[in-house]
Amino acid sequence: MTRKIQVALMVAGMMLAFSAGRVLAAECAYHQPSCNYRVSGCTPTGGSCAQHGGGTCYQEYGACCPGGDVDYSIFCAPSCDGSGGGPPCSN
Amino acid sequence: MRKIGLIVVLLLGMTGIGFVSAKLRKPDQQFVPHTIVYRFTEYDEAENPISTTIVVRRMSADGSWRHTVVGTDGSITHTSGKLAGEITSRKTDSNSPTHLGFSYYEAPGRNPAWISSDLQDFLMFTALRNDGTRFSKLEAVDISVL
Repeated sequence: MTRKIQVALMVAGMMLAFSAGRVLAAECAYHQPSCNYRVSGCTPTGGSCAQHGGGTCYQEYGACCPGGDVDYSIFCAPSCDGSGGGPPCSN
Repeated sequence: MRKIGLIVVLLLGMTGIGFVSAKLRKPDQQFVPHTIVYRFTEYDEAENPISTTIVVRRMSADGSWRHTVVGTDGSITHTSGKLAGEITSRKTDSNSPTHLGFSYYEAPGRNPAWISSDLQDFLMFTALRNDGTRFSKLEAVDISVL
């Protein structure tokens, strides 16, 4: 009987962990850019912002300055107006 | 009478200063107005596509842009902003590859991207996760110059 309870608890724990993993996977996948960039555009992406104070999960992208690389960031915000991208580029 | 003459001279002087300053003022950055329809695909960790949306991007001559995002469920979302300046000073030439009739160069760096110098815009942008797997891909499927 005790063995059955142990197995049931283990299965329940595994199911809980699986569910937690799914919830975590569905969270907005925050991403920090490795450069300052001029924002070129912004698009909503999948992922919940419930754990980040609400809003919508956005992906913003642009060209780095200085340099010709490109990069992006992902964040939760009420809206996306292209004002992100770190400190403004000097030129 | 002298006072009136002085006022007239002052007004003419201010008019001249205003005219010259307007002529010397640097005009706003001009961009080629265009519309790009993108297919935006998101991928899971195994790089399997998990969602696809259509993004209609309208760019105005003053650099302001507006995205209309059409979800698979028919939902509509808008984002907008304004370019702070040219995104690239690099030029393409006759040997450059083309996509949908527009020449582009491949941006250096870890996130693959195609940039059109003429449009000052992205024709393709692939966002990679830190582990190098694809997170999303924005790819132009139609371009029209307004």
